[in-house]
Amino acid sequence: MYQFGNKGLLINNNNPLLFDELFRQYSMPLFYYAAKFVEDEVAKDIVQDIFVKLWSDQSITISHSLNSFLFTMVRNSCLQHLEKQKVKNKYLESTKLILQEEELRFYADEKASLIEQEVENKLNEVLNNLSGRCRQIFLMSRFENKKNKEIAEELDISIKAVEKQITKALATIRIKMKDYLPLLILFFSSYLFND
Amino acid sequence: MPEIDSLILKHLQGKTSEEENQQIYQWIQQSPENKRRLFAEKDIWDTYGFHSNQKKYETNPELELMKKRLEPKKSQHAISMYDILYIAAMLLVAFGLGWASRFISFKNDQQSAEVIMQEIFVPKGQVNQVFLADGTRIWINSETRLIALSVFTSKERVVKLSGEAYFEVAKDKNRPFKVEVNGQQIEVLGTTFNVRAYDNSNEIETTLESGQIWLNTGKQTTLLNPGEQSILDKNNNQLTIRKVDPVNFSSWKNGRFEFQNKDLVDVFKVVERWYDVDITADESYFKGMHFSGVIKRNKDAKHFLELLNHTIPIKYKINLDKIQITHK
Repeated sequence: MYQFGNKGLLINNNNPLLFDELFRQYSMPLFYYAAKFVEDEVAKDIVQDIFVKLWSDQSITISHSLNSFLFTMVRNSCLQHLEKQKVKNKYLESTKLILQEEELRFYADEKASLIEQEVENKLNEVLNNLSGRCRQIFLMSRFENKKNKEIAEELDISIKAVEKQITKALATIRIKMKDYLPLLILFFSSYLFND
Repeated sequence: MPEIDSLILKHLQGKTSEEENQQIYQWIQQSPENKRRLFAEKDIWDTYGFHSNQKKYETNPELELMKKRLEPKKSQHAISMYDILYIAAMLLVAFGLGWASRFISFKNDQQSAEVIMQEIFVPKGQVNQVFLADGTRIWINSETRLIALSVFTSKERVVKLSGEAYFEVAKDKNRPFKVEVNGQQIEVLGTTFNVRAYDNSNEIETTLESGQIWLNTGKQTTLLNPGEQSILDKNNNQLTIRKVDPVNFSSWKNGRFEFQNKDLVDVFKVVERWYDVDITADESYFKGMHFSGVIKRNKDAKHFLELLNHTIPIKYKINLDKIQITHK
């Protein structure tokens, strides 16, 4: 599957084991990336389609970063899907679609998502630096998947206070992560092309 | 807390209405900083969701599913069209293939199944009827989207609904039929019922005509009996059940729409969908007023306006499909 040459690497169905490995490594982040813009079920389909295409299309040669190649493929598929939805969806939730498209274009302008950048350690570090209450509420919301109302009841505070803490957490993380947000970092290119 | 903060948070949690999305859109149009803030915070939000695998994505089953797709081609179609008869025919074909493929390729893995999605959208001013492969009949009201999802798996039949539809579900004890709307799930074995769940409304209205259905709001599960109607308030997730005459709530499928003491502003929304018109009215004046009466498919919007004029003195102007209503 990985054929190294002057032009980069060639992915095809010659080596199923490596192909599985590629799927294991990338399908989840790609799914979460797609799910930013489209419904979950559609996101799953998009990821599947991309790997099917990689497998069966012998002509794809990746000349730069595999990482950014895959994420760009996902983005293009999502964009196509949104375009289709816009035609069908003339009346329903049209602004939701416009916002999703705006968000997509935001990433198309050479800005990589944190999911793409794999900066988990940095994210956790920033999270740990939040004040106790703020971190607790953010964790409950994001990791325990609790509703604002449930958090409010559990901690015996108002829903407004819960919202305020989450907003505060987001603002703090955004400021701390500002070096990461607008950059395109090709993490994987280094070790895929090291020979 | 500034309004935009709570709007953004609501948007990240996927709970904004069309109007609120419009507000957000206007806000990000105001400056590149606003736009960056919104998408940066959404990215943080989404990325933490990814690290805690909030959506419960499972890599291995997905890999298995993909490998099945890489096997010699049987049936992989994403069909989208508006011709209802064609869809019904394709559903039957797809059902046959899906059923057959269980024997061909899933020898030691009974629970995987191909998911074939069928989507139907009925625009304003129209009502349509569709038959699913299992014999279920569905009437679909104006401005409604129905997605038949994995109707063909052996375990259950699932459809997603946004808008209004009347279901006549074919009996199948082994495969429950599920209707998913935003915020509520309905599970049945074989019944007739009406669901009204438009995205721009705060309520989900479920009316049972015959049989029994289970309602699941994520918080509670309730059994509904014939002649009962449940109303789920999307804002506070509160479920109320009352006795009604179910016929009044499904008469739209026969070309009649009956209103009993309905809020006039809601009536306007129905009229807009029903006749494909845009109504401008002084909402602050008409809010709180109620209307009872029947509108008919074979009449036009003018007929409704005359009818309304009998109970509330109004003036109206019609300009093609735009109607302006003012009080006398």
